[in-house]
Amino acid sequence: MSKMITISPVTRIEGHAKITIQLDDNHDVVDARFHVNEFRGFEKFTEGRLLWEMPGITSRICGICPASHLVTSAKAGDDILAVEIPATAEKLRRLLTLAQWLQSHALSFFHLSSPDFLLGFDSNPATRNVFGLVAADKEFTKRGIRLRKFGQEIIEILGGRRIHTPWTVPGGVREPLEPAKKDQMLNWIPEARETVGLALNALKKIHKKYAKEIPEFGNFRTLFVGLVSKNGGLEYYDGFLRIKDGNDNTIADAIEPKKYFEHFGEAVEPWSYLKFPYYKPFDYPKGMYRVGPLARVNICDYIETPLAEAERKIFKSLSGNVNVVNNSFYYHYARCIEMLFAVEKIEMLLKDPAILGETIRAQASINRMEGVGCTEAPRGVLFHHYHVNKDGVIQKANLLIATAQNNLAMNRTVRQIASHFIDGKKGKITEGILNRVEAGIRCYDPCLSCSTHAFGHMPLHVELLSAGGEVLDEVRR
Amino acid sequence: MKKVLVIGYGNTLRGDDAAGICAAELMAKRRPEIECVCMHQLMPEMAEQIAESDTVFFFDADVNVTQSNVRLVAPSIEMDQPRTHFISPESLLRLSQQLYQRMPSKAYVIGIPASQFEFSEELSESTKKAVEESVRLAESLLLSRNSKH
Repeated sequence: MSKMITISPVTRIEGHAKITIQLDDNHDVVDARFHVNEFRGFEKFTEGRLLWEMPGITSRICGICPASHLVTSAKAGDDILAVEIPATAEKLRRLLTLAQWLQSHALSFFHLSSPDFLLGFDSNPATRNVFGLVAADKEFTKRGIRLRKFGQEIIEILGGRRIHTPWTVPGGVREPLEPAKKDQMLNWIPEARETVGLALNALKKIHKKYAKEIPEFGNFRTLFVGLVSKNGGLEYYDGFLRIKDGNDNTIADAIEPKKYFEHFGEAVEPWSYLKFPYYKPFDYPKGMYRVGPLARVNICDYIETPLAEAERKIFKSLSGNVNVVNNSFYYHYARCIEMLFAVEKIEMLLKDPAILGETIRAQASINRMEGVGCTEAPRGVLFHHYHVNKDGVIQKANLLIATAQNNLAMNRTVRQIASHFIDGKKGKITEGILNRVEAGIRCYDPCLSCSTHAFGHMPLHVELLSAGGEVLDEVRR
Repeated sequence: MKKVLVIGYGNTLRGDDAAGICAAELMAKRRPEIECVCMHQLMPEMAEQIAESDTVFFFDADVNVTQSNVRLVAPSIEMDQPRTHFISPESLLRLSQQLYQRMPSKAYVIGIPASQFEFSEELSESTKKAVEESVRLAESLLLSRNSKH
């Protein structure tokens, strides 16, 4: 009789999830599923609201990356107003987007994943947290907290508060940047750059420490999707969609983001509220693709800032002869490279005199009945697609969220880790194995609150089931 | 005067859950010399600011009380909650202590009675009154603290 293992709730992720691991009659892992059991329904309850309210409403989807929803929603609004926003407004929105990357990536690396790396996958779970980190390396922890604070401070300076700022609007932004505030942000740069350097050094030691385990953490070929600039550089605010495969072949390039729906479909499965987006020409589920830091650093031709570009070249050397890093463990590396890029680029933007311009908003009425906004959120490419009536009232909204786009790959990662580490004959999940399965999910830094559009906290539930559906073992946290 | 920090937190879109934020805003109006911070939720980044303060007030909505009440809090690790972007006052104090070897001489949680959490940007009438009561409570604690110094 086959068996099933359930892990629930999954911890140190944003949201609430459970994992089931199915064993066959020989006690080998035959399937593993990452179930997302939250439902929020933003797409439905925004119907009937005004376009101008959408940035403020949709930013409430998430307490971690509200700025990404804010900017993407405002961009969908720009499209409906049919306006080109002032150059200063674009620079300020870019600054906000990078601050969002920095604070979110710092949270993922320092707070959520570092306990595994520095304390060990098999360390005592009671101390495998930020307090355990403080005990192990106080300075490292303090630096991580301060790096996130830097990102939060930029968001607060620009938007008036750290979370759910209403500062970005269709047509531009509400307020210009004060010169004194610019200097306040610039003062953070040397420390931030040094902290990211510490993170990269620590990560390279982790790569050596876990060299035998890393190949089992989501190591497979998929498509990679993300924005690149018009010259093929790493992009975060604008540009075109590029699709590459795991052998570095370009499958599609220069796709207008507003035509995303021609290229991507969304499948549903009865066991999860999280949809399963896929690349249409390859059908479901073969059209599996990954988004986010790993995808972005893989598909771009270069990074415009020197330190991040030098690190990108080292990253690429991990790929062997295919020039694409296919192992999801290296999401962490790509995330650190993006933190470096964000610090460098924030400095460039702040030193650009145009950032202090006072022309910041284009005014217009409804000129199109449909609009799409697209940016690179910390976890991957994010789309907001609205239909409005002539008064700007939302008739229909579709939000394609980064975490959902990684859903197929997260499931495959869980299956790979479970197959490698679980001895089904024992019918038990050890704490260390449970944590490795969770760590596989954490590579993607999923935000389930965003992707299911959650109420409440977000703990993991893992179940080990027999072929007949009998629960052999169950772990909750 | 030693540094006082007021932190009000909650969700401004869920009715009475905004009580903590409303109390911090009222405190800022009545006592402009005091640093007041409004937050959606407590986060580890606050540890440094807390470590630099002598007295900290955490204002929060509380469904388990019928009138505004004060509780003195001490550092501890809350093991049953996520330790990422949400953190309890006790854990935050512990983090301040561990990271900066400093912590406030007094830290209070002021619980404000709250009962309605539907989608709304308005407080219920009873919570509105309780917000004012909570600020008076904090002011009386400050007064008694200053008279002792």
